[in-house]
Amino acid sequence: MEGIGADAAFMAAAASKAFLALIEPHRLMFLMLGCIMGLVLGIVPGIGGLTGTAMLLPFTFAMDPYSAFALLLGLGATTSTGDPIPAILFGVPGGAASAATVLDGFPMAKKGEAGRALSAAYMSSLMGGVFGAMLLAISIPILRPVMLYLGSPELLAFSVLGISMVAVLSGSAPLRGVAAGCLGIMIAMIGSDPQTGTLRWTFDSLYLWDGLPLTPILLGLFALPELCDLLIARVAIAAGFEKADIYKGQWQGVKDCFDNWWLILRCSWIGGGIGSIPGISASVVDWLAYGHALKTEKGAHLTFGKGDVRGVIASESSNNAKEGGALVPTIAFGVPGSATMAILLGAFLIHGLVPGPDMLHKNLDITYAMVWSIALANILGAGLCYAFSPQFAKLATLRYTLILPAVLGIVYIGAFEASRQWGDLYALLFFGVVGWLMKQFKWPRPPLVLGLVLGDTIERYLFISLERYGPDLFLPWRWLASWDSFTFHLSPWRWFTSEAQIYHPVMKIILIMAVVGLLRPFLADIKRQGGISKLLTSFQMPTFHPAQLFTMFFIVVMGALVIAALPWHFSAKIVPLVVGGIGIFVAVSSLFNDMCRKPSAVVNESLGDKAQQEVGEKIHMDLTSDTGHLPVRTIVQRAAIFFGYLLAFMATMVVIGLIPTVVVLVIVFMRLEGNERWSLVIPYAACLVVGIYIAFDYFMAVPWPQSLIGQVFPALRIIPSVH
Amino acid sequence: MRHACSRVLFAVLSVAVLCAGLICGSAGAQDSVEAFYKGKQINVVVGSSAGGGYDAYARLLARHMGNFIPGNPAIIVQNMSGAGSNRAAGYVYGVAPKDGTVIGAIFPGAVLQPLLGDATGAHDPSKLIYLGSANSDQYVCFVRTDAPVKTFQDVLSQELIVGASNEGATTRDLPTVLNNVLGTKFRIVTGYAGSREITLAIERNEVQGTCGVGWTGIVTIHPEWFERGTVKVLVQLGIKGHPDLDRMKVPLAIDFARSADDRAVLELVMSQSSFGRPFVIPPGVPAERVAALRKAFLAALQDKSLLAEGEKMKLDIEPLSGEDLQTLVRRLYATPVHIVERARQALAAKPQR
Repeated sequence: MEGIGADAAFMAAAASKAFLALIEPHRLMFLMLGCIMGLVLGIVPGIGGLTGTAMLLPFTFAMDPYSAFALLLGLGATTSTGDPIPAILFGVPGGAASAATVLDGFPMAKKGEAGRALSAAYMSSLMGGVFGAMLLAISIPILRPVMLYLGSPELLAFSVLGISMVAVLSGSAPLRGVAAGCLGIMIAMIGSDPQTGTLRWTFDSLYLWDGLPLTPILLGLFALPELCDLLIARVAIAAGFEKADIYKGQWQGVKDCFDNWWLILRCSWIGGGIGSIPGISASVVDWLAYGHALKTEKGAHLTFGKGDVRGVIASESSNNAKEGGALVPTIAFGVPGSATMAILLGAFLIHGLVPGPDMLHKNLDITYAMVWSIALANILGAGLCYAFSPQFAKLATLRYTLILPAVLGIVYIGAFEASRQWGDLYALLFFGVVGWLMKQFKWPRPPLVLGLVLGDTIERYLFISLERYGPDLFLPWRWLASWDSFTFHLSPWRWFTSEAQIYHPVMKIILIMAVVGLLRPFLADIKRQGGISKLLTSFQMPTFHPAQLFTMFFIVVMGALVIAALPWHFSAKIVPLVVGGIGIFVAVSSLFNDMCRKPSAVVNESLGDKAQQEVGEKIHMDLTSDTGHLPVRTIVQRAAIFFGYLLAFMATMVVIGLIPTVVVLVIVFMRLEGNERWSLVIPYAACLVVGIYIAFDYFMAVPWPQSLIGQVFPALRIIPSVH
Repeated sequence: MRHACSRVLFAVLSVAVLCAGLICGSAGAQDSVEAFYKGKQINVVVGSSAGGGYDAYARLLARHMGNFIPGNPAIIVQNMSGAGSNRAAGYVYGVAPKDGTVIGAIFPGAVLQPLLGDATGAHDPSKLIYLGSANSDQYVCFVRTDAPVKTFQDVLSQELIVGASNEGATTRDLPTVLNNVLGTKFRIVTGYAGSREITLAIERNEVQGTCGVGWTGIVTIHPEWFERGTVKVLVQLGIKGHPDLDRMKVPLAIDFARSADDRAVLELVMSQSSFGRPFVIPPGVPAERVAALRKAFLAALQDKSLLAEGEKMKLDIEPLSGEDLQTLVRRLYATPVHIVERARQALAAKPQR
């Protein structure tokens, strides 16, 4: 089945032929058009390039293949260039793979460095995208053998390695990190189980049947807490830095990227590599690259999460490289690496291209045209972003009453876009509350996302591997049990022969790496606290404070989930029970630690300080609330107001539909909270609604949910979103 | 503030009422299909997300069908994924307006599952009105030629490792039923995300074959496999043979049935192959609009420009008329209870090891 053998000269000829074809003016124009659409779709949170690509597909029928792929890839490659803009300015991830950008980008905006952060994000997106395309270009001859070598056990090992990043991303709170990771895995298990079809934790709702979509959870976990804290603090995001020099910051951001080119190279290859593995969701590449940077960059443990530009660079360079990576399985095997790639596969067929060996040989010039399209799209995309950047950066200096209603409205619609039903909004609200509490009580949120994205994959490949190869593969003491097996593992030259199908040496190495990676921070933590003996002796009578209620709540929820899982079929419940058990054990240990550990410093008054003191001196691997100066009472009061707005939003939506609700939200919020003048409120609301109408009703044709008013007065259904 | 608020609201409301009045008025004036659809918009609600096969068929149809409906309404596609299209089916059945402005593009599973599965959807497939199906696909089992199993007869005595996705997917359900009804020895490895992932697993020899993928789909993605003899089709899983496969002398699985009941069970489970892409409208749509939509559906699928586009996109077009599909579904739902019960058991039983 193999078709390698494209030698260097042949490759170079194909590459240059493709380049010359692509830079013809009309093709560049299509590429540019794709880029502009990609950027616009990317900026709005919750919308990827998926719908855009599906709608564009018919227009490419009449084009030649170069132009068609230029247009489609231009769109696909740049959607993640626009993603960091809301992430940095408002703490709202613009796409699933730029949640990690929030961690350092948003604190930078708060410090008045929005210009620098945006600039670093674009430049690292550009460089990451180009490096990713380069990786693809040079690895073409080995693509197919490598992909064929990676079976389900190897994919399982990669996912486990990914999840072992939990240890790094938990920072100073390893126990809470692991507990959050377990919760993430449990959430990933919601829905119809792939083995037995058992409906796990769906509570008889069709919405949960397919599992919770990622977007509302991410927006809830990361966006709503930032918006809530903005309301609590009642100041502009970059309060006190209104006069910051944006152009100087931009230049600094570019310089940062060139200073850290090696980091960009590594992170983009992580992104490209993970993006190229079919069946592993690329929505975690940002966290994996971020975790990698945290582990390897000098001094990162002290500054990451507090506005270190390297955090932005790591995340953004990886997520722009992933689209190049996703192209790999699509062209080499016809297995789309992402949803956008599935549509691209349709375009292949239209142009008479068959994915597989031919694409790496006979049609190599078209493959290279795609590589070039991605590289050029990244350059064009970043260039366009630079052109508008100074205006964007100023947004961070606006007062909160101007920022909140628009961002909140768009977050709502972005979440609703996920699967277009009410459940998305409930999920958004629920995870908004959970995310805010986690942020206040210093539970790291990144591990939850890792668990959520990788949990599903791990279960899937674990069962495939078990069913196909039997349990012996996963029992380390059986690895060297027979003489043949023993000699095999000692002779690495045999690892890349067909015998690898039996012993899976690569899987074993990766699994060992994952276990080491997972345990090391724990051991270091124990050592830091003076060894096990000290740990076991420095206890006191239990003390109680309100922050522990969250841990207790967590234990109760996990317990309830485990109990609900007990009656299921064995294959459906085994992973949830094990993960739930670990989660409960770890959370109980954490709680015990909180209650019975002797305090080492004076306890302050604010929630934030208390929590910080609990997790010790080491870096807290997440954003922290900067509302610490306010009394607890005020914080709770204003948070209640914030979530009250969310509830009111949903209640209003039931009655009058989504788009009219946005109008009401803008008017009520701006009048009540900021006492803004009508001459500002009306045009603001009008612009927002027209924008939403064009994007979602006209362009995306979102099926809006029914509203009471539309039911009672069918005539009113003429208003957009009133059904 | 409140005063200004209510004034704005009043203005909005009065404009809305005015517009609505105009539309209702024109509809009431002429009671014909053309008058109804003139200037209207039809929404095609697809039960999958953008980019999949169902979406591609729906968008293809949406681009052409409007020309064949009197009044030439605009047709747009909305994606409403979820629960194997049961959500979209439930929406079309119970929520959507029953005036012929909403068409559902659902999976065959959403027609059959309420009969054979445990899942209770919000819709009753026997009461939906069918516009027809855009294609019929023949499901097949195929294996690598280097696998020990060479013929379908061999699977009755030798184990064959086949890749499958989750329960409810044909790749899991069809080999399971074959194991339970015919006594085949498929070792079913479940959990692959979809048929593309399964074919990759076949390519890397993680599984030896698969059972229950559509013939037209697989031969489009991997024509070289069949030309070079890398893989071999073992058996057809349909009620009647596909011309290409009959030419290759591939047997039909139902011909291996040992009793009339066995055959009836297999026919019931495999019936979905004859309506690959069903399009439905809610019960209660006025009869003359149903007739117009059914006619337009068939006409669009026989239209030259649609066929040319479908050819380019490698979408197989083999329409089944609405009347025929309606009859077929009625017959499925009239299957004797003991056959349905046996089919349920054959589907639910754990895959043999």
